[in-house]
Amino acid sequence: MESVLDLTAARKYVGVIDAREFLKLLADQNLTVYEVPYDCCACPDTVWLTPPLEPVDEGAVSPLGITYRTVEGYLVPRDEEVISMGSVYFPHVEQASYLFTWGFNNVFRKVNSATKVVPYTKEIMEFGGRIRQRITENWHQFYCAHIRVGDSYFHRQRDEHLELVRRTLVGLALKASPGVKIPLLLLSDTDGKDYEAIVEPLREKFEVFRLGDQWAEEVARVRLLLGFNVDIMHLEATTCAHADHFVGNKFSTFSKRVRALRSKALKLPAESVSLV
Amino acid sequence: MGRHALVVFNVVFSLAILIQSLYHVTFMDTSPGSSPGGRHVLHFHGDGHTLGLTYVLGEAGLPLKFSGSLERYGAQDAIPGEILRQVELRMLQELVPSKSKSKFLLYTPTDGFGNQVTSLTVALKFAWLTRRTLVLPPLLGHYEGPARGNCRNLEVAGLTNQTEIRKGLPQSTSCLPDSLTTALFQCMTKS
Repeated sequence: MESVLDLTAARKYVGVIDAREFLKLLADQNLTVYEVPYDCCACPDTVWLTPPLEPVDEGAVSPLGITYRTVEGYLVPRDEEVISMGSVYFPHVEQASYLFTWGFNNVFRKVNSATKVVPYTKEIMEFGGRIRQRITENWHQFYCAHIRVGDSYFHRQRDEHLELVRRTLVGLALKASPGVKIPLLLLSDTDGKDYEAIVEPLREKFEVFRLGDQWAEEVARVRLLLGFNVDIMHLEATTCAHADHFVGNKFSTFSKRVRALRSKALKLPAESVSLV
Repeated sequence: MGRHALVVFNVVFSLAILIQSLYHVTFMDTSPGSSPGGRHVLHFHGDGHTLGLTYVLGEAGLPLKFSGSLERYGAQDAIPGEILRQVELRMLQELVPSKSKSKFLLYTPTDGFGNQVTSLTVALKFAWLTRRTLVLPPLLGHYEGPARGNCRNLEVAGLTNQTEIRKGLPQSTSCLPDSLTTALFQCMTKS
């Protein structure tokens, strides 16, 4: 994980160990383990948006009912050498980070700030900057869009989402430079026919490209530099972070990560992101 | 004379209130039994050479007591607010698990990359709060990990992982697998 993500800021406050190192420890030492029970009350997805304000009953830690107060009262006193929590995908904790900082002192705020957005490593972040530089040698600006086709399964019809993205992008393009095509880096989890269906309505206003096709050499170079075959998704994310405008999917944590990288790591204005 | 004393008292009192509000610190007696009243407070006491601090986290009251000389923390020449800030920070740095590698917090990464990063940020906070070393799992592909923690809903649907959700093919009726086993399995299959 640390080959891709930069945990320097978080490490000031939290000790971390790679899972493989931990496996060795586990093999060498007879560590006691406590498994957090996951057998109680799951809540409907809508509840995720409402941070739980009341502590849950002792012994009944739900993935969706867990609160920092629960952590303090329930997990902190555990004596076992290992606490195994299973999934900790609790978006409400992030969404309700004010709960984490409210009433606490400066150190809590610092920990929150150091762990809120885990940036990419320097090499990966710099890749996005290099691509931006290359694009802007010939173009005045460039946009980036993340279209999640798989979204339709969970939340809404695909065509509805595509139309929203198209309308947003065209509106931006008309405002920025009417009559001139703008390069658009497209991130999508689809290929073939579906991809064409997405791109076609955008071609009138945009020069649409994909990172792996257009900048294959740069991608190969950074992989060589890193010494491993880094997933192109990370390179796309940093390139999108450097775009003049980013249009993403409001249900996607990936889109939200790009937004966070832009605001926290690159200090770009919030208006340069549209999540639709 | 009395008027001057009143002015001095007012100035000192105002400064104390200002420092307190700026640094979100509650100055109070740390005698046994004192209650934080449900707030997360930092108890502070000192005599100019030593400093004692007690953190009480939440109503559950987990006191983390600490004391040491100001000199030790390099804060002896700083202004009072700065002393607090520095000592606060260094005290917490001593309390975080990077200094004691004997206790660990393990979690299972789930879903795609964005969700895995969200999980990581939550896990980092939990590790800090529990003062444990966080075991970093490897980054998993979108459909390699188990489904997220609201397993009851998935269990009702008979679905346990992303691949099954996407395919819509109920293949298993079990809930999230034993988390440690899952995490270790994932580590081993990636290595």
